[in-house]
Formats: sequence, structure tokens, C-alpha cells
Amino acid sequence: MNAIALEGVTRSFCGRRVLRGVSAAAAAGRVVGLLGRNGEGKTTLMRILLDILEADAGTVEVLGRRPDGSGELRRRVGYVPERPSFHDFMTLGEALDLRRRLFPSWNREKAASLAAHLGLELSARVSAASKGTLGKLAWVCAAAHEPDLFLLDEPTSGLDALVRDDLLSNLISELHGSGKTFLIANHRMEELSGLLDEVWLLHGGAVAVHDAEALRTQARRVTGRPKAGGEAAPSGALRLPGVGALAEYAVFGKEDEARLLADGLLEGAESRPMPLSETLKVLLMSSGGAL
Amino acid sequence: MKELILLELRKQRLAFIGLAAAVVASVPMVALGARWAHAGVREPLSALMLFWTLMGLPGVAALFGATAGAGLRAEPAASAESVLPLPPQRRALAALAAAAVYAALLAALVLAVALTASPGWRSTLLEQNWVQPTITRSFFHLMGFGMAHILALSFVCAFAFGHGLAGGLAGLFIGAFADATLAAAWGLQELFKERDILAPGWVLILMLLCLGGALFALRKASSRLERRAGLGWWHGPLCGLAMLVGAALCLLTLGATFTRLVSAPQPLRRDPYFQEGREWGAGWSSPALRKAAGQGCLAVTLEGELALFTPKGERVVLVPGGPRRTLSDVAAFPLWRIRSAAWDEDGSLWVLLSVTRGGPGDLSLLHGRPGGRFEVHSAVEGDVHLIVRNGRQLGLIRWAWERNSYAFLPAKGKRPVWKPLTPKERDWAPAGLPSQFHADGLSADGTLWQSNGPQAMTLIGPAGKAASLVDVSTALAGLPRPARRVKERAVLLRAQEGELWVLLAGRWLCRVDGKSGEVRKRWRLAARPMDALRSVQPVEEGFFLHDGERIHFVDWEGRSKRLT
Repeated sequence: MNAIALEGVTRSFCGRRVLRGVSAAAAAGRVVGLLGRNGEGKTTLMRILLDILEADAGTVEVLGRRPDGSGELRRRVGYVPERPSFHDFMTLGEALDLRRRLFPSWNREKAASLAAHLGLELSARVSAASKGTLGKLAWVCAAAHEPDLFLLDEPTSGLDALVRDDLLSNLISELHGSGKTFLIANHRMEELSGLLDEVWLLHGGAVAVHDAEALRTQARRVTGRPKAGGEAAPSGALRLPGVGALAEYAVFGKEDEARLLADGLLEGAESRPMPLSETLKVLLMSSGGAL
Repeated sequence: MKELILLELRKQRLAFIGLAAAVVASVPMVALGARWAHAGVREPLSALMLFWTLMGLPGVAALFGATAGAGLRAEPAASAESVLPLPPQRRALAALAAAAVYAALLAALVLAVALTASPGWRSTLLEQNWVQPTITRSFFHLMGFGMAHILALSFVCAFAFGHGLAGGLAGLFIGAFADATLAAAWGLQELFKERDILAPGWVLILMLLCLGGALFALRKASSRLERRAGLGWWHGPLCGLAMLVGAALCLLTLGATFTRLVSAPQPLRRDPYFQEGREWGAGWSSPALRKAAGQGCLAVTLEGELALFTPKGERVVLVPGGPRRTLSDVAAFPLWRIRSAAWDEDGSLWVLLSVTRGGPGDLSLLHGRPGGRFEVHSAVEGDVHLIVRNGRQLGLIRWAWERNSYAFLPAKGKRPVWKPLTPKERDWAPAGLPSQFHADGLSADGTLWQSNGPQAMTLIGPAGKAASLVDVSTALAGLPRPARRVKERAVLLRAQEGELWVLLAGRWLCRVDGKSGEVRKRWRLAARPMDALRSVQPVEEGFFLHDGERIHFVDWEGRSKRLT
């Protein structure tokens, strides 16, 4: 069963089309990285999945039901926004208490233990809380009602290394054998690259789906000295910024690698596997058309 | 929902605390100010509480509505709440409910302070008097609705604009406009209680339409603005229309009510003391006078037209209407332009016409005949005048603050000669006229009669003595069950060849035996007279009936037609 199914989803803001027919599906239990440059519509897509925004066209199905504006869907979805917001007249404990009363499946013990583990001082006021504290609180709010789907929109954005580590360790423990689905948008995807099952590359309002395992095994970096006249990248290879006099290409699959080497564009070419974190950057670069 | 309302109450509590403190603190401040200025406390305090009630409370409603509406879209609360598992409409309703709770609490506080601290406020708004404008009182009576309406509109506008000040002002303007026009229409109905110009049911429907329109707009706006991030070209105007339709209907209602008030003919009032009381001179039963009065029903409009409605249904304008009345004319000085009219035995009509408002020389005594011209007979000075009849003699009564006076109708072009009207001279009978006798009414054929218990009547002979007693209780008992319960006395309309035509239970015309009172035939009337005794005028062909707003004519076979 698909936890997320999108078919031809479009969405515009003031005449500007942000999503232009997004079609993708994520099976339950998968960890999906949502990749895209700024303004490509990652947050918009998340908000559509969360039933906060309505798609202009297309069909959206989340956990087997269509968003209908009732808010029911959010009972089963844990959401960490890029900029967590809470009522600033409340304390952290009151913010959690409000959600306890509104989410039927709220797990009070889990909320308390997560808060304790993350070092949240529940008597502190939201208005006086740091960005890191709000990020931690958002994580507790997203996880404590035992959702089946997590939508994490830049969950570590702007956080210091220690807080990031805290959140990531919690994310990993939440993942561990849970069967829950994650859709994670993160500019620092290297932090999460080991966890991903697939990658959705959002570019030009559409999504290209990549299998993370294939990227891990098939993406290679080919380095060598360029021969004269060998500036243009052959098909299947992506020219990367070179280092000194060396030229670098990224290839995805053995056939592309063999074609590049056979073209004789490089002298003393070397090929080595490319880590997923780098592969994702390359994908991002290729989508933006600039380095 | 309860959690959401509690959350909203918490969000809005600062505004409430601030306003409540302002209300409470304003009382001693005004008292201190008055004392410092060596003035009395009572008047400034009344003015303060009237300000809080009539201006402050609508403003408070707009403030709470706008604060709550804009607060729904203000960060960080908007983002914090959008991720909660609730539909946006419910969040909007909770915010509106919380704002309504605070507005109601503040209204209760203002009323409590006003009731305890300001006797002037009480007399102005709670007690019926002729000094204070009725429309102000009506505005106060509709205050609960007005506050709810302004609050809802301000909320929706502030929510839609995402701006508290702009939304509050827009809501206050639309709401106050609707409420003021509805209060004015209701005030006219209150001012002219005897008229039926505005149905309470319609007022209720209007209130529901106003509030329903605002709630409809709120529902649309809350779902569209949150999930679509814009109202769109179709839903935006639809929301605007929903909010404006109530105000537009209130304005149309005021227009229709006012037009109906000033232009719908009403039977000319007869003076209750001299002409409709229990004193009847012999002149009333004279055939010549009956024939003159039997030409039809005299009716006037507030615009000053005097018309005669004939039994055939014709409308003969005797005196055309004056300049169009304005709302303030009517609300502030609701006097009729046609002050009085009386038939003479020769079939002519005397009319007392107010030319201007108040002041000497402002009345004209007109004389003429239906179908002919009415000419000024003489100018009459003074305050309020009536043409009255005593026996066969017509005269004028002038009400004055110190002393009332009377005068016989003057010769053409002459001014009346006034003589004091003391209690002793109340019977101002000119020499040679017969003494008066008591009666309740005069039938079409000239029979004077007097009630003798609710369902019996005494017919009075020419000399003023009781001639016979008729009991119609058996006729009443034969009416359908609901009619039997009506406590309305029987009214004699006609006596002819041993039969009587009697109005029973205010709705049934019965032809009964003149001696036994048993029913020969009966008809249910299409309309009920406003007052069984005073709202019917029997003539030879039948009788005119005024149901409070319209004039009907019913013939002796029970066939009725509406004349206005």
C-alpha cells in the first residue's frame, strides 16, 4: 500500500505555477528524500500532503485517504516545519498540553520522555525559547501522537551541530523497525543519505523519482585530463567542476561509464564510486542547471 | 471545540481586560472631572453611560471581531494552529465564539454599571417617554443583534483582509448601517404602535439573514483562505454579497416601512373625547348628517392627503398631500397635516389643515364638498385644534397649556371667537339644543346603542331612553370554537325590519333576530377590525372596516373588498 500517492498535482500562487503535474508514490515504510532547490515547491508539496493547502488539480492520497480539509488527516501525520511556530504566550509544556487534548492518539509518556531526552525545560516560555529549542519541541509534537507518516521540512535547518545530532538520533530511533513512512526535505541531505530508500527530485514543478540504492551502487565519478576539443559532456555523463587541470564527470550506470571512457575525452581516466550525499548534490546541480 | 474556545479566550483576554478596565475607570474619572468643574455628577454620568451603550458597545463588538479575525491569520499563531487536526472553519468559529463571549461580558458590565450608577440612562433607554427619540430606544432594543452582527462582520472582514483595523472599520460600517436602518424602521413601528407597518416576523428574518450572511461568508472565507491562500474571483464577491445583502435588505425595509407609513391612507381619527366617547348629541342621529357621513370613509395619509373612500371602492381625493415627509419629520414630530374633519348636515365637509408646524396662524379651516373644490374658509390661530360637534352645532376646540377654549365655526374670512372651556362648561351646549345621552355606537340606520355586558346591547330610543335589550350570546355560542373564546364585545352595525347585523368576536358578521338574538345567517370576515367598536364605520350599503393598516368595505351580505 502506498503511504503517499500523487497524480498530476498542480498548484499555483498568484498565477505562478509552483507544481506542474507532480506524480509520485511512496510505499508505506519507505524513507523518501525530497530534493529540490529553493522555491521549487518542497514546502508547498508538504503542505498539500498535510491537507493545509489544496491542490489546484490532480489527485492526492495520503495514508489511503484524500485530503478533504477536515484536518482528520493530520492526526496520522507528524510534521516538522522549517520554522516551527507555537503560541508565544504559552510555555513549552502548555504547547504540548494543547496538542495532547487535540490529538486522540497522543502518547503522554513518549512526549515526556522525548522532552526529557532532548533537554526541554517545559516551564520555559515559547517567546523566550531559542530556535533550537523550538526545533526540539516541534520534533516532540510531531512524534508524540504516533503518526504513520512523518513530513519533515528542513528539520535541522538553522540548528547547531549538537541539536542536529539530537534530532537525527531521535529520527533514527523512530525509524528503527517502525514501518513508518518518512518524507524528508533537507538541504543537508548528507546527514540523512544513509537512511534514504528513494529520492524525489523536484525540479520545474515536477518530480523525478530515483531509487536510493541504485544511486548508491551505480553513481560514479570519472576524473581525468581533458583532451583538446573534449569540452562537451557525452550523453549520460554530467560534467562536474574540475579540480585544477583535471576534468570530472558523474555517470549513473555502467553503460554510461563505459561510453564516457570509450569516447576518449579523458586521458588517464579514473573511475570511483560516488557517495550518495555527493550524488544528491550532483542531482541537485543538474536540476538547477548551474553549479 | 471547547479547547479551541479556551485557547481563543486566552488569546483575546488582554483586549477584554483593557476595555473592561476602561469602562470601570471611566466612571470615577467622569465623576471627578464633574466635581472639579463644580458641575453635577448625574448628567455627565448619564452621558458617559449613553456613550458606552450606544457608541461604545458597537465599537467594542467591532474591536473584538477584528482582533479575533486578524489574529487567526497573524503569525505565529496561524502557523501553530494550521497543523492541528482541526478544520479551519472550526478554528474560525471558535475564535468568533470567544470574541462574542468577551463582547457579551463587556456589554453586561456596561449595562450593570449603567443600571446602578445612572438613573438618567435608565430613563432614556428603558422607560417609555415622549422626550427621548424612539429610534434611539429602538437602536438600544436591537443592541444584542447589532453587536452580534457587527462582531461577525468585523471578524470576517479582518480575517479576509488579514488586517484588524481595515476589517474592523469595514465591519463596523456595514453592520452599523444595517442596524441603524433596521432600528429606524422598528422605531417607526414603535412610534406608530397602532399601525402595522413592519411585521416583527420580518424583523426576525432580517436579523437571521444578516447573521447568516456573515456566517456564510466566514465559512467560505475560512476554508478558501486557509487551503487556497486566496478567495478567488468568484468566492470573494460572493462573500462580499453575503455580508452586504442583509444591510441592503434593512435599507429596503426602512424605505418600504417609511413609504407605507406616510402614504398608506388611514381612517381619519375621530376625537375620542368629543366624538367617539359616550356622549352623543341628538345631531348624530339626524338623517341628514347620517347621509352626509354615509358618503364614505374619510382617510388621511401622513403626507397630508385627505381622501374619501366610497362603498363602491372609489378614492376621491379631497385635499391633496403636502410636501414629502422626511424620516426626521416623522420621527421627531409625528403630527398629522390634516388635524380634523367633520361632516355638515348639508353634505359638505369641514377640514382643519395644518399649513406649517406650530406657531400662530398655521391652520386653515377648509370647506367644500366631495367632487368639488375645497376653499379656505378662515385662518385659525393657536395650538392643536379639533372640529367637534355638539348636537347640531359644529365648533373648534383649542388645547392650550393654561386653559382650553372653544369657538363656534366662524363666518367666512373671520377668525373664531374663543371662549374658555372649563370643566363646568364642558357641555358647551348652545341654547336650544337637547341634552346629551350616553351610547356606545350608532348603527347605519341611526339606532344608538349601548353595551349591556359583553354579549348584550340596549337599543336607545329617540329620547335617549332604553328601548329594548338584545342578547346575542346564543349567536356567539354557535360560532366555531376558537371564535367563542375571543373576548370582544358585540357591536351593532345595522337594525332593519326586526333583524340586527352584529359584529361578533371581532371577526363574524351575524344577522340575528331582533328579539331572540338567534342567528339567521353569518359570515366570517376577511379581516379583523383593529378595534371592534372604533375601527368600523357603518353606512347604508354596509360598513367600512380598518384592520390596523388597510381599509375594507363589507356589504350586508358579508362580501368584502379591500380598498387600500
